[in-house]
Amino acid sequence: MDVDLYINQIISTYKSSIRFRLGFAALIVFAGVLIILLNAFNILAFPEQMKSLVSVSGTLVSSICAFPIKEIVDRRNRIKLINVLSQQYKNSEGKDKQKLEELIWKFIEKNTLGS
Amino acid sequence: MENQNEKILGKFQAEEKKSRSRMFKYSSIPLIITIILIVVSYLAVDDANKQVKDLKVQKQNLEMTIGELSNDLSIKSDSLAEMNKILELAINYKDKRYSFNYSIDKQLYSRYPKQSRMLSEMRDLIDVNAVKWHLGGNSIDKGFDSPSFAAYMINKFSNTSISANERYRMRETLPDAGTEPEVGDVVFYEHGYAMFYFEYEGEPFVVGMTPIGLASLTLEFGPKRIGYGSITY
Repeated sequence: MDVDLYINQIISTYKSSIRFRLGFAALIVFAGVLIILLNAFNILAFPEQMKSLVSVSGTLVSSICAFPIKEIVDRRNRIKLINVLSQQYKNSEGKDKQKLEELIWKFIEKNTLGS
Repeated sequence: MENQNEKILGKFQAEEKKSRSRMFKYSSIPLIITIILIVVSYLAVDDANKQVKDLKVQKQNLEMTIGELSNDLSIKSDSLAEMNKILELAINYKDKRYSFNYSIDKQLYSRYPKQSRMLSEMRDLIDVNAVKWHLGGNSIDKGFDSPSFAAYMINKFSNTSISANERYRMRETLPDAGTEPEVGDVVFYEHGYAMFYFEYEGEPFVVGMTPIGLASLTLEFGPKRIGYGSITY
């Protein structure tokens, strides 16, 4: 198989992961905001004394979105790097091309499997 | 080489799947902690609310007890004041008694027949000591206070009628007799005394209920006179 095809598959896998994490992050933020709003409008049947605590909990739930966002940023950076290497691979010839291919695979091995 | 690359790609895709489940696990830790925190707090607040409710009930009961005790204290104070009055009367009014006999009936009966009969009955009651002082009482058996006894006799012997709830407001409800009362009118004194006015050989005297019992006393037997109420016989 051509290196470009591998790279495309890796990038599409990363993009799929990013979409999934984006959805998950949005869901968590929505859940946290929903808790805060329901609590603010007294729809949740919690005692009056717990209002502040429930609001803080809603904020805490929303803040969990930091996990997927961190991974999204990480994957985007990897996509950028792979694109740069792929571009250089396309523009090079001979031994350089061979070396770049090895480099790409090493990068894939180290960065993707080592994560 | 190609086979090795395929393997690496497969591993990469498997690692990405693992990474998703790892993300779920890591995210669920703060979620679980939050849920536990809320549940524990809810239970603690609920327990505290129950305790507050119980304490409120206890407070209410204590307030009721305090109210009852205050009431008792007030009644006891009133009784003590009453006892003071009785003592005062016993000490000071001994020499203020006015004695009269049947000869007064002859003189009064022609002009004041109903008043004369009323006086006779009061004399009989004094002689046998049949009626006692009782604050708030309204019958011969139970006893009377001063206005209640006056109201009882007025209703029995006169054409004037005093209702039960008017007996402590006779000063306002009875027509004012001015400064010269008629025989059988009511003399009002300080401390709530209501006594019947009589005259014998030009000498005025009063008969009515006092804390030391039913008594006939001189007009100026002690408390300050505050007015006269006219009674129609």
